[in-house]
Amino acid sequence: MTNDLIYKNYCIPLLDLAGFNLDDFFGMSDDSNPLMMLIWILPIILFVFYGQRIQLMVSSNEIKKSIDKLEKFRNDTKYEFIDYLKKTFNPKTDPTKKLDDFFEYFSIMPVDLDPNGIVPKINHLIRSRDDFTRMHVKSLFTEISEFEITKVHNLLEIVTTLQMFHKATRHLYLLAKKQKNFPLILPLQMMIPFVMEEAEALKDAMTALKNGQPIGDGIGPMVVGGMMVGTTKQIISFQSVLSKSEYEGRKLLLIKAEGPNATVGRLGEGIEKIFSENKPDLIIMVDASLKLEGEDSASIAKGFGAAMGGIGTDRFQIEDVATKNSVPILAIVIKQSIHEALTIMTKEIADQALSVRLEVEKMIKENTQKNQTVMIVGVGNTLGVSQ
Amino acid sequence: MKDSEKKFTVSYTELECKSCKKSLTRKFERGDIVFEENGNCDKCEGNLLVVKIFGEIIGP
Repeated sequence: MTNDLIYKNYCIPLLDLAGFNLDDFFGMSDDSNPLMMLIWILPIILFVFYGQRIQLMVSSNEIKKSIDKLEKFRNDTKYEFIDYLKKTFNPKTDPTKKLDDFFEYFSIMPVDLDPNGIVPKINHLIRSRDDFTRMHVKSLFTEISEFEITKVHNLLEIVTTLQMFHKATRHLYLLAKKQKNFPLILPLQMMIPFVMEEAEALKDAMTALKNGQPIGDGIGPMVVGGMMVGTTKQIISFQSVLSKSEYEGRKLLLIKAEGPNATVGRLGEGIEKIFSENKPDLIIMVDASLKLEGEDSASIAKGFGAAMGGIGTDRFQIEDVATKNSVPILAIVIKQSIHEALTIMTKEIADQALSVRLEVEKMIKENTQKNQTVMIVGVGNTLGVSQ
Repeated sequence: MKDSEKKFTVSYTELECKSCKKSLTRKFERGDIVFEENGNCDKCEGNLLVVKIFGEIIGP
């Protein structure tokens, strides 16, 4: 009791000076104040019964803003793309209607109830889609180079992906609102920052693609392309090139997508073909890699295993053929954010090309003997990077 | 977003003379491709090779 008095006198002198009594305000000094009891009880009742709806309203407002932004990205990129086509290729007929159909195309992944043998099925699906799109892009214009076809193909993929992002997020948002179900919106609330990050990167990638400029993801092909300069190149698989070189008594097999096209090539097929003729003693893969939060952009990391992104079919082929022939795979990756990977290459990343090449040479010397064969694979989109 | 807060990217092309190894950087021009020859060196008339194309962000 004494302690309470001391506490009150010590803590609230200012309130007393202002003629304001905290106990009176909260109705604590008088148990019979029904108004103050209501002030306490009403919010509790409100939050018990309507808490989730209030949370849904707050969360959905934030998500709605992101969905509107996604819609804007989709529309902006779509108009930018169509405008680019009209100005660059001057088509005889308006391609808008046909392109609108393309934006709506979807892919149905093969049944995975029995996953055995699913990779060739996915590979077939992806290749068919690629071939189909390329053929239709070609048919839209009377004269279009292979370089431009690959650029248009990539631009088309950007708009299609943004369309898909917008549709999927809007579906989850409207479903949660319709069902008035707060937990339904939680996965969307967690995912939306990542979706927005990728969507912004895709939107910004349009400029580099239209101009034919190298993107951050092209650092792998840039390193290997640099090693290919002055050598004889041959096509090993669709949009993929091989050249042979030598380094300190080792035979080098250099492989990358065929530049300066906006393509990642079909490196898996190419490497399988090379193995049937010329088995290497070591594979070194150079690729861009998404950096973890806190890591520096353009930093280099080394490791083991096939460094290759994408849907995984090419990586599967490389891992399969390397395992069957007991060939070790080493990896060198150049860290970057998704925005850096999809937009014009930053100076920091471009400046690392020489350091990566030196690392590759060091790896060759440390891990192989003279007269052995080393396969060096530059993985990534080789837009604007020749060889 | 105010105009003063906007960021934009300026693209550059770095070229290197294949003979005298002199290096020069200029604004990117359409048709520039890494590892392709583009013009002659003003010092020795050797072929210039595009060695890098990169972007630099300007803005706050």
